Amino acid sequence: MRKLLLGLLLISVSLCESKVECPVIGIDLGTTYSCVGVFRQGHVEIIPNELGNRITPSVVSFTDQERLIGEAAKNQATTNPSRTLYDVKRLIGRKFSDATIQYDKKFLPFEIVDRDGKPYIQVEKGTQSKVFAPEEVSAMVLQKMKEIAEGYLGQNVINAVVTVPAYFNDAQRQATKDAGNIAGLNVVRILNEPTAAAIAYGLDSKEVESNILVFDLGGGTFDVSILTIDNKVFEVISTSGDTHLGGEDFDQRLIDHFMKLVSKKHGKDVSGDKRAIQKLKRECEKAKRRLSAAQEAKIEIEDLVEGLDFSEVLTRAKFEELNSDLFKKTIEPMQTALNDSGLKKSQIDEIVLVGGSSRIPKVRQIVKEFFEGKDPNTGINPDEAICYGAAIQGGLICGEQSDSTDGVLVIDATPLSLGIETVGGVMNKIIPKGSFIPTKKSQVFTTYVDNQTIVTITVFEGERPLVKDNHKLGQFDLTDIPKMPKGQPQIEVTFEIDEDGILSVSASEQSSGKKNQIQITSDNKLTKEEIARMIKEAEEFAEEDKIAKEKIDAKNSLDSYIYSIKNQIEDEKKLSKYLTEEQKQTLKDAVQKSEEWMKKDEANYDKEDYEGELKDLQKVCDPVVQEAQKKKDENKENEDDTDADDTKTDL
Amino acid sequence: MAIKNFRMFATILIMFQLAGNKYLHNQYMNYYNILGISNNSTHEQIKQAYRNLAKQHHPDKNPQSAEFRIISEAYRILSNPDLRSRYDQIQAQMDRQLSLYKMIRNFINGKQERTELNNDTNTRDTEFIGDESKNREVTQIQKKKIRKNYH
Repeated sequence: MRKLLLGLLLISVSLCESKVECPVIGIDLGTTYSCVGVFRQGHVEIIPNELGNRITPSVVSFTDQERLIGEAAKNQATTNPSRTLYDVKRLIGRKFSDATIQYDKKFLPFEIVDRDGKPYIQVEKGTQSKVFAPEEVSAMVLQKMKEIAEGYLGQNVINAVVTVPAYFNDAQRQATKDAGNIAGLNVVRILNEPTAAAIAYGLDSKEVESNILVFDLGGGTFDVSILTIDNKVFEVISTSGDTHLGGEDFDQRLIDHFMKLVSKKHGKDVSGDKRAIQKLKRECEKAKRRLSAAQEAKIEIEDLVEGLDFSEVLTRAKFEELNSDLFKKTIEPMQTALNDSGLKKSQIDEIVLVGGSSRIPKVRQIVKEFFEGKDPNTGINPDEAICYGAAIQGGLICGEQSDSTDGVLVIDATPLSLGIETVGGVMNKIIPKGSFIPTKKSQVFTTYVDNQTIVTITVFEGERPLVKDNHKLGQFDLTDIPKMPKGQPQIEVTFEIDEDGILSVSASEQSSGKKNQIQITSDNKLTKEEIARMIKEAEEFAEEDKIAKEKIDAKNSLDSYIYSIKNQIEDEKKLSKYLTEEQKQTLKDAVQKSEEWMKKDEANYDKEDYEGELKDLQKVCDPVVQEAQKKKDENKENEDDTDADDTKTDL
Repeated sequence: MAIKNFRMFATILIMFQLAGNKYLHNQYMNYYNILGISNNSTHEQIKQAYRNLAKQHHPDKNPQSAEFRIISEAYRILSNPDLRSRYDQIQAQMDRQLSLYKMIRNFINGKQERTELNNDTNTRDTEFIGDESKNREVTQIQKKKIRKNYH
């Protein structure tokens, strides 16, 4: 009996400690680039992709044969524009009717369609067209990052911390988490990007309390967060931002500028030519990067449109002029964050710049001017800081021990106020912005008509006093309220925000003693069934990718075998000398037969076909080659002997 | 006179209702007690107390602990000088109510050991629901508190 009790005790203990297993990778899922890292043995390792680059483009592309992700996908954007998907982070968690979606739709070369009010992406694959949710496309990028990490660590990776812009709303966070699940990841935390950057910056900070402002201008989003760091405790005081401002917008301004220039100078219209726009986009991005160091950059594109070789010089001044209003858009969120924090400009001890676009000299100048001449800190790598912080947070969650992270605690806060609609369309805030998370709060409401049996609870987020100006998250009905005069029912509405900043709402009628609880599901959210289907599809895709890769590998090994045989026949230094003419002919015939076979019906071959062909070829060639090799070896020994004799005579 | 009697009656009613509220049963409802500091602590002391507690109770450090929410709420109120002074006023009021309640409870000689039905540790903005005059006042003050906080 005692043993049994002990056993039960042990089981309950192990159940309680539902600890996350290491490794927990950190993924910075960016609009344009993503980055993955891991915290091991006391330090962060940023993991390079298969090409050795530490950041990977967040691009997915479909060809008739295969699916490409990352560098390979980005490289063929100009030749396959309508099936190369990028900037998907700008679609995730939004509604099709959102102004930004309608705006982005004009510039994105792939097709965006309306599916139950959500923006989906339509891709022609072979003869059929396929529709993807933004979550699925993001999942593909996450899957790629997962593979990169798995290749590096040499083990399966399941747990991950994924970052999102601090100013992302509830739906966008939830969608990002769903994307992680579809990719086969257990997202242990959704972390705010500026918070992650602050962790990277402040890990080896001094003991004294300091206030830092993180200015994060990336590829697609802009965030400002003010934090207090005191003895390794990171406290987010205020957050502001713009979820639609970043490098992509600066590129777009340049593209527009050059399109106008081409039509003015050369009388050619580029606007309808997706390939030309992609070429222009690629070069504009490069030029923009160069202008961070140089005063001018040359843009040269061969055969831009109708055989036109395009060549132009872009000066930094022109670039700044084209984007000046966008750059200035960063000032307002800085001011808001500062006001919310209750701090004065002079109380900000350090300004930390992160995100690729924070390299732009004009942006730095704006920040410096805003802080009355205080130089921003540029000591951390703006591309990797977020990923670095995410990896540390991952290590903290799974309990990776180290001196540097001992005692680190990150207390994040909500970026937006959350509340419900009350009489007259008034926003009744339940969780004010800047509340530390996780948090849970309740408020009691009542009816305002006699014998009301149903109340509709509509959840909003935003700062404006009227709900019509705020963003609606979803609604639900609380039914079966006992008939009572107005003002009598007590409807308790509870808002709970978890560590990921994701909200759940429940309501119950209490005065009658009968609890009626309903959980809210956001309008935009994927259902469980949808996610399950997407996970299945993602696995199928991964399987297809695997098959495609194996096929390519099999084809390559056949190819290289053919090449080596050809080489043996022709190269004097190899076996050419030791093969009889007859043998050479046998080899040549066999090789030629295989080459013809390869060309004949390439689209329909699979891995087995290639392997079979290789085996057949080897059956013919191997004996011949081995015989010749033997001859060569014997000959070589003789040669060595003669060499030895030679040396002797020399002596 | 009648009014006075009525108010007395109302107060007793409130007390009965409050009896259902477990937060008034224990002194943990006191934000100062939650943070383990005295009523005249400085801002610096409050901050330090909060951070020390957060290190113990934040879900990252202690996944089983649900106390972080209460600690945070206590800190949110006490770290803001304006909210703190309002809280102090309400606290004094509540102390009076509490002692009155205890008196009544002893008088009724009833169930001194109330079983706590609800072990939930959420924080609530409207602890004093369901009565008229006084509580509305309290609720209003509390609502104002929230508004004040994010100007």
